Amino acid sequence: MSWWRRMTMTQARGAGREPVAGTGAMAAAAVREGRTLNAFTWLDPAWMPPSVGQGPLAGFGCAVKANICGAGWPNDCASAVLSHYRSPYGSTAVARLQAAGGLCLGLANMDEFGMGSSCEYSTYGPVQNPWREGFTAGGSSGGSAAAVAAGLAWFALGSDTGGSVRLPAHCCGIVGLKPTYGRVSRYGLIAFASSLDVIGILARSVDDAALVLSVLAGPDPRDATSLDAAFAVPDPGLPVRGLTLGVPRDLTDGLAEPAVREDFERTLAVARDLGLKVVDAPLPAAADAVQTYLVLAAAEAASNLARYDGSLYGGTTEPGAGSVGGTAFEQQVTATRTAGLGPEVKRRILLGTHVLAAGYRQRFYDRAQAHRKVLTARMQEVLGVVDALILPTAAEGAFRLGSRLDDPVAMYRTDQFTVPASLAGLPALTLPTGLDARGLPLSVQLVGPRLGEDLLIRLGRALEEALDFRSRKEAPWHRLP
Amino acid sequence: MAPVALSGLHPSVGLEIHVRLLTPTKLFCRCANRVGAESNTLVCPVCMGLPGSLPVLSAAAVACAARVALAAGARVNRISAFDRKHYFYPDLPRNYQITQYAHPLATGGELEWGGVGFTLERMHLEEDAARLLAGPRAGTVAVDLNRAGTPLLEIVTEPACAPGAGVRTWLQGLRRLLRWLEVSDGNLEDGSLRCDANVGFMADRNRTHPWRGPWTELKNLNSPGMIGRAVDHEVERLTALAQEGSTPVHETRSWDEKAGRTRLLRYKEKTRDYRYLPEPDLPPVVLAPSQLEELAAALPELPAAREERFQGQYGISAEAAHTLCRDRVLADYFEDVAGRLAGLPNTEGATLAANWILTEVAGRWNLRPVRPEPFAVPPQKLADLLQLLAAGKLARPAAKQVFAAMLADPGTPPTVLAQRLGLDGVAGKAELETWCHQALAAAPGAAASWRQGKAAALDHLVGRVMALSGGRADPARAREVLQGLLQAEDSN
Ligand SMILES: [Zn+2]
Repeated sequence: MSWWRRMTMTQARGAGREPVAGTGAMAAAAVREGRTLNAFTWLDPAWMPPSVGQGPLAGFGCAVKANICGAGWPNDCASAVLSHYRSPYGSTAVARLQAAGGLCLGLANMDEFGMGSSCEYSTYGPVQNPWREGFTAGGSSGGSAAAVAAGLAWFALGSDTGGSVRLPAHCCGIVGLKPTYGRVSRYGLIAFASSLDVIGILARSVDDAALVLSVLAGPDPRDATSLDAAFAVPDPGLPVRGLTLGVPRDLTDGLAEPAVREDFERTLAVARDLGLKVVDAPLPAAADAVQTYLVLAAAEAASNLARYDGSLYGGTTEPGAGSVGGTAFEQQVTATRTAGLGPEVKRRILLGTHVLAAGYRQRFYDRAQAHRKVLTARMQEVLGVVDALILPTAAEGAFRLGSRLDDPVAMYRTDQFTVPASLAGLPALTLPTGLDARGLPLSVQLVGPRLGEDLLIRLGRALEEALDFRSRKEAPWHRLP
Repeated sequence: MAPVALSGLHPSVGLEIHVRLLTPTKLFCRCANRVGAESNTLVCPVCMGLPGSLPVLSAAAVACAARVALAAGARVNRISAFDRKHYFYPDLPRNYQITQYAHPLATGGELEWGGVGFTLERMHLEEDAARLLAGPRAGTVAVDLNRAGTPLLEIVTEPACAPGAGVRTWLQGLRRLLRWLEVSDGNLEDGSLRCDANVGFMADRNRTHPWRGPWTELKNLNSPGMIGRAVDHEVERLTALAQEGSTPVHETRSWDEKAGRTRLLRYKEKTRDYRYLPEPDLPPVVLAPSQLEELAAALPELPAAREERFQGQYGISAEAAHTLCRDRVLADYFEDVAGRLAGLPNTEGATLAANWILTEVAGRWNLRPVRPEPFAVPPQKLADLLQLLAAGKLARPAAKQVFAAMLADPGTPPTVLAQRLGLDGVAGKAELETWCHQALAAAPGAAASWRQGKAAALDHLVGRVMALSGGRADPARAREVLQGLLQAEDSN
């Protein structure tokens, strides 16, 4: 067991360890173990800059999801259509990490363009769960989560559109933070569904996630939807006793597996022991959240992905192949998209095109928009009464790779507990709580009010300390050499 | 033109105008907004539509558009928003155009010039597409993204019963307003103003909606005159078709200037489904009442109002006022000079200034750019010259000579230039009489012709006096003296 796999950033610093030494060991391990886990799509041979910058992340290396751009990086979003693409510019998030001394080891595997819940829809093949081979690491930021859980990165950047940071954190037994929509600039995040996309953090501990957020958060003149809201790590001494957690039982009870329900009740008991009040907070509006999410996300995806037409990207296909009729340009578009986009991406584009089409728009897109408004208002209302919502991140632990590929509806349902916070643009924190009967991680998700990340961090810290999940001997960070 | 009765229908035309705005940057990025640069040099991740890039709205473009809307008396909406308009085309880097569809920047308003008025339906901001060029190989196209993302203001009018000549006048008025507000070059010829015209029939002169019967969309119209001719031709064509009893169909047509007729470009397909999506990357555009008040307060006096004021305040003709107000800098120059001549009795100074500027300045000043270079002769210098003229110290021909010298040497006072040219002071009576005697002596035939009643002979003699004096003689006085001498000889 190596210290750099086990320790959090806070612990390493407290123990007087040299972060960059740990990062070097990770870079070497990533080359050795990368193929087994399939967590990375690209390792940067030049990850070590001539001089390591100063700042809160000085020397700590991270993995960056393949849809977050760095200058000169092969940000292909795990899609064939971008297989020859190198981003000529970098994202605000990566620039801020690097300015804070952070190092980027490489790009993390993902579901193509972020569309998926298992990291199986990738041109690089599926990511393996570091807890057990043959199981999903979750999606779509599965590579990011696997890298952190396996100790191949101190932390990782992911993106969360409907649960894509929280679900992998859940599957891999680590912390996942989806900030408030707009709190972290999206400039340089390759869009899936722009009104839902958020850059999130996968970390070994709640404190580590807070530290990274403090570096990323804040307004960006390049992103008109970014919020003028910097983030400071809350003082560790702040008490949580007396705060109220709301449980949307109507959403979770009928759907979660028995093992998840048991683990969740245990977690609630721990919360009560910490002096937190636990009350019922029904959210009937969240029942149809997945449908609403699918419609809206697909509509925006169809729009965002229209640019991949063979002119600048994916132009390797001979115009004319696989297309019938139309102008030369139309033939090029058809050929490029037929060959360059994967089945799940095509499914969403077709769905998104359909729900915006004349004659269908009112039935689908407009209704989904209206429902999103109602749900957002209802969640804000509830969060005016309770301090945060608490619910399982998913209805079950990691599933076996391949078991959902023939059943897209079941795959979409994986996100049912995570999409409400996405639709409402609210911050959410996933932290590991226990293991299911198979020995795979389970977790809870705290959902806070808009810009309530500090509250989530305080609650998360208290639960994390009481649950002490990190010391589980079955965890990959203890098992791996 | 009286409306052509066509089973009670009136020919009418509605305009869709795209105005290229003169902002320093493109609409959604910081790239320079200018034409003429080498292909694909004014580009960045945003206007190339690269993955992960995001648009950020130019405040200058919003201000430009709001100025036009306010000048047209349109209602500027407190909240407007952008949408994505989807269609696959090589000139759209993202295969959608960011435009304002559901919530335009402004609605309503009316613009009227020379008796021709159009009610405005809406005005909105949108990005321009890239320019397509012939590709390196046959059958391919090349894309120049310099134009991609540059700001356009689209103005859509309600249909109105206007003949081609009226449409032309109106477009010229719009062009003047855009230049006056310094928001656009307004040139149809180079595409900084683009105008499509929808020609059809209305059931009732005063009811603008709905369109009745067939209509044609006229495209590729490159000058106001061309638009006027195309509209007239299309009305005739549609009327003839309807009278023949055949059913015209919806078409897109272009204007063939040489043949003097419209030509079919394509039949209108069934309405395209653009699947508009509220642009998630751009928050709504909010214009607070205080911002609008500020913008309105900063508007210059508008051309029509200024023309009217010029007539009242300066006693100049409607025609002179109109010509002076063709360009804002010209009108400013006139007012500046006239103001410096305010000491002259009545409106003599203004009249003098207007005449001089219309005959001597307007034609010499390159007013084509929206913000032209200042005129070579500063207003004070011209006022000085006109003072000399008004005081009788320089005759008009001499003043013209001095003015010509001033154009080359605007720093030197006109009195000094007049001295250098030997033109200082109008010649005295004695001198004038000498020249007149000399002129008569040199052209005895002219005197004879005059006596035979040929008035032109006197003009000839005045010309000789002017030549002898080297421009220092006052032609009006020379005429008087010559007439006196001839009559005296006559009575002898
Ligand atoms: Zn640009």
